[in-house]
Amino acid sequence: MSERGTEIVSVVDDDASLRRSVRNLLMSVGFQVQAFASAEEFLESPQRANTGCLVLDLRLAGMNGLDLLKHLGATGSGIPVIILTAHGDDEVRQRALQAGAVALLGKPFRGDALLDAVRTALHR
Amino acid sequence: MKLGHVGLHTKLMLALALLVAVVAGGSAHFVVEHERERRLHELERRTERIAEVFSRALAQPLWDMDRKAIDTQLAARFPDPEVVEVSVTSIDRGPMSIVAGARGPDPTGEIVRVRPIRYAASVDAPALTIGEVRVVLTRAVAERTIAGARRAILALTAGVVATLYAATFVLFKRLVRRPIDRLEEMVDRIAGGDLDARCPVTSGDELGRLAGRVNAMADRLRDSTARLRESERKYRGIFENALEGIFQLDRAGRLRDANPAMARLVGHVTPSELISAINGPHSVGLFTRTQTDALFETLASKGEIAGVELELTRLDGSPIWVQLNARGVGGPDGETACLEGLLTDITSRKQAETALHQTQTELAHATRMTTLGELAASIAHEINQPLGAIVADTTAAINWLATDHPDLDSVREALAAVVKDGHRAADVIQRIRDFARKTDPRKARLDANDVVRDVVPLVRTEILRHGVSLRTELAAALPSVMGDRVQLQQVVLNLIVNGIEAMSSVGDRPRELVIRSRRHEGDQVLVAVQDSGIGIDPTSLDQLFDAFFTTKPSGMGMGLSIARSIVESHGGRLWAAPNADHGATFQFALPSVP
Repeated sequence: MSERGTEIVSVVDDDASLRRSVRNLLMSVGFQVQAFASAEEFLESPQRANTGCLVLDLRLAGMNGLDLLKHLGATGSGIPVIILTAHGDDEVRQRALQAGAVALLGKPFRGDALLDAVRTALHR
Repeated sequence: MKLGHVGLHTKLMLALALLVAVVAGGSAHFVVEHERERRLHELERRTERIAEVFSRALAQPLWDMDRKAIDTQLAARFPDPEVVEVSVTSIDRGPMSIVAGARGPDPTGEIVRVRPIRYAASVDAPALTIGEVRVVLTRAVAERTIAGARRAILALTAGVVATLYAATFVLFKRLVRRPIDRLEEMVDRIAGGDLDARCPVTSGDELGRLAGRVNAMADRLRDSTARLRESERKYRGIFENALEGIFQLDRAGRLRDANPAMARLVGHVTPSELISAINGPHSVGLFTRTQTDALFETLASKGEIAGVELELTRLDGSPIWVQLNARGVGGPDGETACLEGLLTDITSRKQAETALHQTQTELAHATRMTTLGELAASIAHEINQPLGAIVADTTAAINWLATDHPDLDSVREALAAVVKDGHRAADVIQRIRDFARKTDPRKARLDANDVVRDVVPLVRTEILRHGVSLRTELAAALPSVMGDRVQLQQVVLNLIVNGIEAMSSVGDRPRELVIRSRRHEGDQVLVAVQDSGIGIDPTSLDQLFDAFFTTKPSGMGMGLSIARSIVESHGGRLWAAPNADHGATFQFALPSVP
C-alpha cells in the first residue's frame, strides 16, 4: 500500500537511530517524512507549514516535547501530534492529552500502532 | 693637627718644665742679683776702709817725705787682686807714689775713693791736710765671682729640674700612663668585641676606680649582647626553619626579605635567588599589581590581613593556593610602608576540598541513581530507544519486502541498523549489571557499624527535609564481616531511603527511623532498618525484592532488588517484615568473620 499525499509527516526525536528507524517505517508504507533532531530545528524549518502530522518524543534535548506541544497549541497550528514516550504513567498521558496530543504511544511501540495513529491523524 | 694629639704626659711634663724653669730661674736670678749687690756694696766699703787705713797709715811717711815707707805701705796692699791703683798725692809736691797694676779699660767699672791724709804734729796740734790718698778698686773680681755663682746656681737649678723631670716622668709613667694604657687597651678590646676582656684593678685610686667602672660596664655590655644574640638566634631560627613562607613586601611589589620556606614555595632554591628574581628587571612579581594594591588597602582599612586565600604562580608556571596572614609595618611618614606576611601552602587542602566536593557530588548523584525513579526512567529510556528503533526498522523492512519491487538496499540498511540497536540494548543491560555491582566486590574486613555511620551523614538532608527522626542502636562489640564497603553502603542507603519514602505520607504519628546492629544466630551480623511508615502488605512480602516490582506511584522498583543481589553476593540474606505497630523493618544478615 502506498499513501500519496502532499502532506509530510515530521518526526522529532533526539535519538538518531529512533529518528532514522521511524522515518524508515513511515517511508516503507509510502509516507513522506522529515526528521528533526530537536524541537527548535522543527520550528525553524520551512517544512513546518507542510507538516500534516507530527510524531514527537517527549524527552528532547533543549525544548522538551511537552513544551513544543503547548507552543503549537498556543499558536493554533492545528497540526495533529502523536507522542512517543517511555513514561507509561497516567499523569504524563493526561498532560499530553490536555496539551492537545491526538495519541500517545509508549516506547517501545508497536509498528502498526504508530502507522494507524499517523493515518488517523492525517485523515482528520 | 699634631698639637691636639699631644699626650697628657707630654703636656704635663712641658708645663712642669716650664713652671720649674721659670720659678727656679727666677729665684736663682733674684738670689744672684742680691748677692751681687751685696758684694758690690761690700767692695765699696772695703775701698773706703782701705782708703781710710791708708790715710792714717801714710800720714807720718808723707810728713817725713819717706817715699820708701810710702811705697812699702802701698805695696803691702797691692797683692790684693781687687786693688787696681793706690796713689798718694802731696799737697806741696804733687803725686808722690803711684802703685798701679797694668790695666786696660775696665768694663765693669772702678770704685774710687779719695781720702785726705792728715798729720798732726803732736797730740794736741791741729791736723793738717798734707795730701790725699786715692784708692781704686775694680769690680771685675766681684763680677767674676758673681758670674761664677750665677753659673753654679744655674747648673744646680738645671740639675734639680732635670732630676725632678726624670722623677716625675717615671712616676707619671708608672702611676698614670701605664694604667691608662692598659685601660685603653682593654677598652679597645671590649669595643672590638672581646666582651670578656677586663681591666686589671691594681690600685684604689681614681684610675683603679675607673678601671672598676669600665669592668662593670663591660659586664653589662656582655650580658645584654648575649641576651640580644640569644633573642636573634631564636628568631632567626624560627625565620630560617619555619615551614611557612615569611616575607616582607613593599608597596611597589618588591621583596625586602624572604625566608627559605618562601623561596621553596615559589619554586626557587634560595631566598636570595627569589628576591633577585622578583625584584629583577624581567620579573612578573610575586603578586599581581591588583593583588598587591588590594592587600595594602586591606591593611589600611582593617589593620591586618587574616586568612586571605590567594592563587599564586610558581616559577615553573604551576599554580598554587596559599593562605596569607600579614601585618603592616610603618614607614617614616606613618603610612604603611611594607607588608610582613606568613604564607601557608594550602594547595593540597584546596585540592582535597575540590576532590571532596566532587566525590560528594558523585556520591549524591549515585545515591539518587540507586534509589529514586530517575534510575528507572533512565534505564527505561536507554532500553526503549533501541527497542523502538528495532521495531520500526523491522516493520519497515517487512513493509518494503511486501511491495512488488522491494527496495532491497533500504531493507539491508534497515536490518543492519537493527543489529546495531540490538547491541546497544545489550550494552545497556550490561551497564546496569555493572552499576549494580560497580566492580567485582572488593572484599575487605569491615565493621558494619562503620558502614552505617558512613551512610548517616549522606541522608541527613533527606531526613531533615522529611521531618524524620533518626536513631541508631549499634552493638558495641560487633564482629567484623568481609565485604565491599561501597556496595554495603549502597544497601544501607537504599533501605534508609525506602524507609523515609514509606513514611512520606504519614502525618498522624512521628516519623521514626531506627537503625540497629547486633550479632545474629552466633555467626552472623545483622543490620536492621525500622520505619514507622505505611508498612508492607504481607502478601507482597516476597515480591518486594523482585526487579520492577513497586508499590510506589513512581519508580521502577530497582533499589531493593539490587540491594538483595548485593547482600546475596556477600553470602548474606535480605528480608523484610511488618512491624507490630506501624511500618516495616528491612534487615540483612551477613556472615561474620572471626
